[in-house]
Amino acid sequence: MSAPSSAAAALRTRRIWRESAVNLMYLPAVALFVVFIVIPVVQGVAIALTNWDGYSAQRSFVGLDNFARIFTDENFATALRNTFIFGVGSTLIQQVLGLLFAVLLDRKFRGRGFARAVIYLPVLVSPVVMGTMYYLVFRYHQGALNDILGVLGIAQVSWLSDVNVAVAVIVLINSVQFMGVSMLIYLSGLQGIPAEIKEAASLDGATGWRQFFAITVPQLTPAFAASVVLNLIGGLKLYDIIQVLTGGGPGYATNSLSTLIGRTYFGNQAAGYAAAQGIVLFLIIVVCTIALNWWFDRTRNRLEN
Amino acid sequence: MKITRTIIAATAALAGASLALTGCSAGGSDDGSSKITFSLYMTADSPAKAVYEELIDEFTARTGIEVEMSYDTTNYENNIKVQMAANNLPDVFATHGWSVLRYSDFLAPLNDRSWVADVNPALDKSMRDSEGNIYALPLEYTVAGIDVNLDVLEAAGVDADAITTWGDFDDALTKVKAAGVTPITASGKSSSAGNMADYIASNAFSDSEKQKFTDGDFDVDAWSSAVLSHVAGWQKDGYFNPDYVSASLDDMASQLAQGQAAFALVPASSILGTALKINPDANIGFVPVPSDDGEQYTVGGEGINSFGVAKASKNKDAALEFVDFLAEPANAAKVAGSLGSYSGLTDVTADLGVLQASYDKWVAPGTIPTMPFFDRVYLPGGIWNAMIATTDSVITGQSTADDAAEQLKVQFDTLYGQ
Repeated sequence: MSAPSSAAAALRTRRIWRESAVNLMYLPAVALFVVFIVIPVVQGVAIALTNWDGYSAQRSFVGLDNFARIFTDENFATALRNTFIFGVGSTLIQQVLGLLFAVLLDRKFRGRGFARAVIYLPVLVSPVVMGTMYYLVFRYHQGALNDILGVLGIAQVSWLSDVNVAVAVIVLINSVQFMGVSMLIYLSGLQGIPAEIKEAASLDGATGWRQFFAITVPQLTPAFAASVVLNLIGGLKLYDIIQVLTGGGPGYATNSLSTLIGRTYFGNQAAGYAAAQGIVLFLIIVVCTIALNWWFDRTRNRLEN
Repeated sequence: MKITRTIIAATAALAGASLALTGCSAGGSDDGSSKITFSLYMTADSPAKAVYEELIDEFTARTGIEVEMSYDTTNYENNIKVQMAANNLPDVFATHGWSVLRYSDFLAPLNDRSWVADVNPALDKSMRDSEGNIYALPLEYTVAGIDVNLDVLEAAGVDADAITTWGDFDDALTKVKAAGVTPITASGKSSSAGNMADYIASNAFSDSEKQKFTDGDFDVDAWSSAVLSHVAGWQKDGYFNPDYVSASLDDMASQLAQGQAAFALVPASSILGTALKINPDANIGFVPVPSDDGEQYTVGGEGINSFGVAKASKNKDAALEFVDFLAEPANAAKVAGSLGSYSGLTDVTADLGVLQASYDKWVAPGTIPTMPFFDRVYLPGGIWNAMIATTDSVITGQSTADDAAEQLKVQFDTLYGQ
């Protein structure tokens, strides 16, 4: 009896080992996630509760003072407003342009692949390069735009001195750069709509705009969800283009939360306060993402029912 | 079993790769080998770069110690702060005016080096701590005034030597503008707005007012009326370059060199190299900073090219030897000459090129006081960025002088409490 039972036990152990060994497959990913995400987030929270300057050995516990300061900080309010303008503005423009190009380039015509590549190409360019390119367009002296105005005999304009223009330019650059992502998502969504549905709609007399709004748009809801969430997160985290184009100025007027955090941490040597700002930005992005996903899920369920 | 072996092998490979990466990131060497790291606050096109490279070759040939040089400007301070937080500083690095206030906890005192006896005593206030320790070799002693294009001033009928009060300066700005030239060039893409506030503040307050700043009491009214009101007035009268927001230091240099602007309130050493590249014949100099009561002054102190040795350096002996080598009069003179700047060592004489006449007129006689940069002595470390942003907001008309001073007070109070 003992021999067969020990063999069975060994077999059972081997089976458990084999089944549990699969856990080793994701262990490296978990380890990297813990090292590069979890530990920094926990450390960020710990730093946010101190008045650390970012480099010295001394720091004192200040409780929630850094979080309380956020509510009275005008620069944070400006950066928060800008962050939403960058996030929502870029997302709206990217959806409109992305969907437009997706619909246009979903048709079969000569050079379609080339056109798709051209629209997508800016995604591959570093935002720093993109920002620098547009800096050379909008700068006052030797800026491309002012050179054109000069040729036309029109007085030069200091484009980036006007906060509203500077914010609009930043939104525009970010939108132009990443509309290719939206186009790609909508293209895959369009190609996933069964031809039979459109044919049936045509037979029922729904063509053109009516078919687009009654059939195509509802069918694209999952694509909308993916594209909007991706673009919104990118817009809310916008950093590079602002840094290169305006550096957050004039004053603090064009800062996003990301650039303000950088300035607060390194420039103002207030790592504790910068960490608190970072945690607030993180929470804003989490709330927006959850809210949008919830809304898109509900919309999709309503349409499917 | 094969799968398990594969997993174990993959995990081992990953661990090995991680170890290798960790090894790559380690700075210095444990065996005290003869290689040191040397970080400079310098642009790639600085005339000083070739001089440093030449000196490093000479040092290596003489001692066998290799020197790995790196340089940056935009991210230099941020990088050094990160390295400080990680206690992984370069063996030798530029302290750019902050050897005592920011870096002294991380630097080895250099009191026992032979060249310390030759450090200009005028630097004592900014380069020695309360116990008299010195932490950096001052290859550069910044003595700065208001940069001028003398040809522009002459054409506008302005006598640069006669500008002793802010009223005189305002009159000069009016004449320059009437002559069709931009009176003041400044740059929103650099820290020139902070320089402007520093220049004005350095002689704007009484001793009791300065003491209040030192004691942690930021006087909003005083800062607004004595410092930012000047800037606000210049902004209101349209004296700044119209491209201020998008202008860089190079643009400032270009405008001054080409006679498109008359004045610049930044240390000449930060724009001179570029200015002379653009126009080698530019008639550029500097004049002392005026004040309300007519007492002219220059501003200055520890220059960008001052070098400290990291206290935790594993190659401290080699690093100290390198700093001593840089301090040798012939070598220090080469560096100062390439920077167009005074040396902080009294036994070094440098050819200051186009600025020589200004130095001879305003600095050499020793009759005009050199005030330390205001923020480095009377304001808490870390205020610099807020000084730039708040002055910038006045130049661009985003804030009034009062509002900007209030903003600066918020940052002052936070930093003072740290």
